[in-house]
Amino acid sequence: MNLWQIATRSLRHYWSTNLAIALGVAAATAVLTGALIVGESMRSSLRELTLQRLGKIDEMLVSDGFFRVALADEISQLKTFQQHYDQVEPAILFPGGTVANEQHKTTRYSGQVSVLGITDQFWQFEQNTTDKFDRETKFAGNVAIINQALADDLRITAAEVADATATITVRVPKQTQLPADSALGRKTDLIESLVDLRVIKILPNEGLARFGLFPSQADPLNVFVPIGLLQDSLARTVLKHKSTTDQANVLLLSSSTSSPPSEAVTETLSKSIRPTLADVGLQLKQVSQPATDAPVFAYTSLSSDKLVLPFDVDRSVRKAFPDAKAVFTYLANDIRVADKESGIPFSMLAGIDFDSANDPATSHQFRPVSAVTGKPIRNPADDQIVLNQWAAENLDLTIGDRVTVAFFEPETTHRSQTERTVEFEIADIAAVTTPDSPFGYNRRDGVIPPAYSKPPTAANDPDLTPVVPGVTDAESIEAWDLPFQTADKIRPEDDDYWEYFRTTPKAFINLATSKKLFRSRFGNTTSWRIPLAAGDSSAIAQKLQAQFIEADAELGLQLVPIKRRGLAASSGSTPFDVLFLALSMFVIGSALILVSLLFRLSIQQRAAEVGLLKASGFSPKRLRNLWLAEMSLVSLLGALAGIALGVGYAALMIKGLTTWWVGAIARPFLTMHVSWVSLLIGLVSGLLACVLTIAISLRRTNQQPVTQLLRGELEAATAATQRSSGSGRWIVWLMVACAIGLAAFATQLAGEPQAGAFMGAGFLLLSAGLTFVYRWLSSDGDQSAVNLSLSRMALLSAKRNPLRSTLTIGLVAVASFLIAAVSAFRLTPNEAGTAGFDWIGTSSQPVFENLQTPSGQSAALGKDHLLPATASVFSFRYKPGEDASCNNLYQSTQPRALGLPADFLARQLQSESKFAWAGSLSETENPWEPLDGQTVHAGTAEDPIPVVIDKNTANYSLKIFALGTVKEVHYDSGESFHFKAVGFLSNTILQGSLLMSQQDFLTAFPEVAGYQYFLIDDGETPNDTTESATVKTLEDRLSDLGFDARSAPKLLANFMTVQNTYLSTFQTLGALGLLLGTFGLAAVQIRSVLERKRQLGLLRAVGFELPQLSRLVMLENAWLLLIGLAVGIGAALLTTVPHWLTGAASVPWLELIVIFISITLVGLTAGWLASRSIAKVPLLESLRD
Amino acid sequence: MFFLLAKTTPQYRHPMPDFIAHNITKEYPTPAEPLKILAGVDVELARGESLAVVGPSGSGKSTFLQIAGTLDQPTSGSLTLLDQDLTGLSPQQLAKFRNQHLGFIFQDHHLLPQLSALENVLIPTIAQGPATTDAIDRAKDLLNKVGLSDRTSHRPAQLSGGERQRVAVARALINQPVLVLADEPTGSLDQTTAKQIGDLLLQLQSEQNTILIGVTHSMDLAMTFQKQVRLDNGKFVSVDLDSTASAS
Repeated sequence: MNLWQIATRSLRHYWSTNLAIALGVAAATAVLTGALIVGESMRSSLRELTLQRLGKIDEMLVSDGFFRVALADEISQLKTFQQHYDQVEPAILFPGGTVANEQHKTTRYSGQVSVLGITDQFWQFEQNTTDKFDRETKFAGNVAIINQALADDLRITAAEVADATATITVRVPKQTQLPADSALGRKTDLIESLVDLRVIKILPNEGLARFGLFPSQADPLNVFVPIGLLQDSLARTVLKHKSTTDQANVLLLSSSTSSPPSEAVTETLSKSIRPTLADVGLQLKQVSQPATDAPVFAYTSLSSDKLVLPFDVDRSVRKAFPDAKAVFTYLANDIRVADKESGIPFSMLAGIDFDSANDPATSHQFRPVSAVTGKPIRNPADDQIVLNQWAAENLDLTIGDRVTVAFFEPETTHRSQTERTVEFEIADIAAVTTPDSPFGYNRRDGVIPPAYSKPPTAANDPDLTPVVPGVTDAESIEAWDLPFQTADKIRPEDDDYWEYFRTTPKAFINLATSKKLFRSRFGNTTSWRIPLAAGDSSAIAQKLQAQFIEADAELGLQLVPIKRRGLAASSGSTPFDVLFLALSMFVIGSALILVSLLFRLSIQQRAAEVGLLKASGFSPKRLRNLWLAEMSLVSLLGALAGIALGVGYAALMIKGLTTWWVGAIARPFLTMHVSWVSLLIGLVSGLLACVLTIAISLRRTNQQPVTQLLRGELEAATAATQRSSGSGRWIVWLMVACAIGLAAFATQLAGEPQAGAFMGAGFLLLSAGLTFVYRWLSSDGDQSAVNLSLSRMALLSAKRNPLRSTLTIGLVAVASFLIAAVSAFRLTPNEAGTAGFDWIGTSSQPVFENLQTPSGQSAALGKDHLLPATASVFSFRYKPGEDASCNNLYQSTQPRALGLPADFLARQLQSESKFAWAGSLSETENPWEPLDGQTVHAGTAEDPIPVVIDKNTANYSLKIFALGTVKEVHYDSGESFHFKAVGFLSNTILQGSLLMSQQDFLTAFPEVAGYQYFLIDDGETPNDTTESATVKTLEDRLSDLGFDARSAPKLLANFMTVQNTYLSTFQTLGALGLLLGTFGLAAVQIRSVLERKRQLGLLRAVGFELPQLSRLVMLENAWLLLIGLAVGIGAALLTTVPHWLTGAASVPWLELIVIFISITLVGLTAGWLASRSIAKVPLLESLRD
Repeated sequence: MFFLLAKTTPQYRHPMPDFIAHNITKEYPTPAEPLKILAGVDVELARGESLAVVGPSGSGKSTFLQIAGTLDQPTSGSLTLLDQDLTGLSPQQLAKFRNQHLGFIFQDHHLLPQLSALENVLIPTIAQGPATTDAIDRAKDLLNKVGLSDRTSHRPAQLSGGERQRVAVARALINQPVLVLADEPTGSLDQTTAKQIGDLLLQLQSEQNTILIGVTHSMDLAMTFQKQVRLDNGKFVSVDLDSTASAS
């Protein structure tokens, strides 16, 4: 015989007691396992959504421009592709489209729609091969497929689709070659419309119908059109100058295995992709002026489709071709004599360094000759300019005279160009030769060079100006397609110049000055003159491509591991298992206290056995081992039952999250996933927690004297010690004093620290209350029998075992305290969350005008549709990205960003309505100060961009927990930078975005043009109706841009619903814990009746009626329950009252009253049931034992 | 066998004692003045001797027995068994010492209801590890000696009161203790059974050559012991056999 055999026998013999303990263990294990399963289900469901959303698509090659569809074929021939991938398909993707549906003379608009131009093969990426698309019918023509989410938004029904009466207009951004925010960039007519597309199918919101770049559990709005349709439409604009219109801006790749390719494979493939220079928007041109035996100049020009070359290209050129010369040519609005009002309009002004050496091998150099001296011209100083002969003669100027050059600032704000003037001294006059004939032009060959009878000069170079479609290829200067009026300023001689010289610069300054004046966030070079020695165009292209790869240059073409990232983000913004463990804490705590109570009862019942074993020489350790062996078996059985119950508990939680608490997860997408790992972890942790609880209970038991144990007494006569100890009283008062101090301190705090401090004060009060109760139960109190009544007898019974009674009271008190106190954390939308803004507007396409000013409104909305004078509209620059707010369960790696305009910051300073802060690193009183844009940051680790984030977004989605944290972000569009959290907002409508200064925004996202995010204060008295004149005008007039406004208070309430739903979950689970506690209370009472059957038998013998004894037991139960509730609710009230008084908390009184009345009723009913057990106990017989 | 000593202190001396209790006192603090239960008890006993302690309820009989059995600590005095001073031992050492050298018999037999008679007898042997074959043989032998060879696999609930106490006697002797302490061993038994148990106890004590100290209200039982003392005012006094005999 050994310990385990005794343990097994005991397990069987005391099966009823052990069953009760096992049930407690089962409850604790069930809750633990359930929480783990909920967490796992959340992760797996998010993962499933990701896999559904992307189908077999593992990676995407995305571009900010267009490239040849043939690149897909080239990629498919690569060795890495053939080893690891199996399909690559081109597509055109516009994530920010607008779709309109006109029905019964009403037009409905949906903004932020993803427009996908796809091939027939796109649907082969679908994971499940259920036929989404009729493969027999070729997807072509004026047709579209939409997903159910878009159909619902546009109110298009399946019946209309079947009748072929559903038509939509899809609006996508018209791709412009020049950034819209650049001076020459186009700012109107930016929308390309695909009208009257017949909707041929509505796809359910599953699989690739949910395709999207950013992970979110919310259903995206998607429209699919044939790729050819988009290509044809774009052929008139952005694809016009491409060698072929068979272009795409996205390639979709799938791997040959079921899992996404590894990082190394992606890297290898990315490095082996060889886009042509044209694919990345670059062009090479052989330039020469072969008018004489030896060319005046000859070089290969590298320029960009977008006028200026990206900085990364400059770096690569400098590395690959150290001898290449940079040119920065800009448009001068006017070159005039310093004191005149006008001069030569619209001239090209080239920034280029003049070379002095005269080496024929360096024919790419710039060596103009003076028309005055006949000698090479030296490089002009920073305040000097060199005019060409034509300009000098036209203005009648010579060396030493001064000229004023007017030009637009390189970047525009709200579409308004700002003209600047700079004065120069004429350093020299560059000779130019007028050709014998004008330049020719035809559609097929474009510009045809003129003929010279006299040798042209180095300044006779129209290719110093990069190609600007609509300008450099225009037939006449009047035909220039520029965002400002030119015609009224053009003189006849300017037309002549255009005919004979076209884009030949009329003036030159040195490169450094040109960069200083015209540099923008887009770049500071317009072309490079690469020497002929570098080889022909294909050699140069090859060398450049190699250099781009070596330098990892950002050319706007990125291979994005979209599935790998999506799966990584599926770990979720919130660790749901941890969250639910926290939420279920009280149920677990209650179960463990119950286990402890039941175990103590069991050991009490067997106290004599313990005494006997001790007397027989069992050492404390061996005795503990014997008990632990038995209790481990009990716990194991309980835990095994617990994991089964846990699956049920998780199912209930998931049911809750998809129905009553759906506010916490936004959409009922959650399905149950159970793995062996979760069950095993649940089993082991439940087992350990319970065995540990038992071990702690056992430790106390082991300290009892054998003689006492042999008499069957477990509890030592501790009351006497308590009575004699005065320190307990001091502890109570100390805790009360600390609680008052903490509460007073809390009034000086705000937000969560305040709530935390109040909670801390509450806990101290609770502890003080429980300590007081314990001391009171341990005290003799009034020994006189004068007041002896049934109720008093019940109370004295409760005092019989002070520790057990206090534990039971504590169980009820802690749960009721938390249920009540957690209300303090409930959020209600308030002004500090909206800062007085009534609406949040977003647009699919950028708005360039300043909607704050009447002139801007007039330009954007029409002069007859100005906004009410009381309205204020603040426009923010907007970088689309993942929604990092609490509405998105995926972890965010590339959050959307907002550039804060100066007028918004000014309003925050001046207005009484300010956003609430949870903390700021600002050293001044203005928390926005780090974002004032006074300093522009590089976005490097050393010089990170300061950002303000909502605290919840920072903590949960971005995992930033402290101000000052520096983090790096990479966007799929290629941008990456470091940012530093300099401020946390507290529960505001700006949740989910990185907020940065406008200046830093432009550094981080140079390609983002215009404004797409708006905060609107309509100046009217807020009301619940959606009819706001401001919003109605904006939505009507900007419908083509997909303008959509949402109520700011409603959005805030929606954000807060998430937190409030968690609190409701928390309270519900707390109530469950409390219920468990009341059942525990009843169980303790039943045990207590059995334990005291002799005492009760005596009472019966001396004439007490059975109902009286039942009442006695019920009263004892009621005492414990009511004292527990009183202590818990009392402490909670003291905690929440200051919050309630200051209006910071909206205590749901009714809900709480209902909860507590229900708990009291259930508790009393359980007590009543326990008291009925008296009738079944042979009390009188027990006296004869 | 019986011999009496004068009412002197120490009352019992032995030239070669195996168990010595010297000047044992036991006091309990009360709000007024300490309550003195034992006021200097002296006793010396050698193997093979038996001592019955009698006295009225509350006289301190059981307290003495618990101190002798190291289940309680004396306020002062010393306790020696087999030349080992027991007052200075740690709880761990005491547990081991009790297990090896002491045996207990209680009025309530305190059998573990979940175990069989044989297993109950084996309980003291497994305090130090799993029961050995030797221990099992010894337990069977003891059960045989107490007349329960056919009851080895019975649970306590299946045994009569006398049989349970026999199992308790066998359990007390399983580790071949030097000192067996019996607290009202027949207190809850009817007269016939009580006599049987008393006889059995002394027979086994004699066979095993142990020291037996018994606390009892029963003068009949006490008379069967070699020595008898009464606890009076916290001290051992000799028992007046004549008056006792006439009283009984």
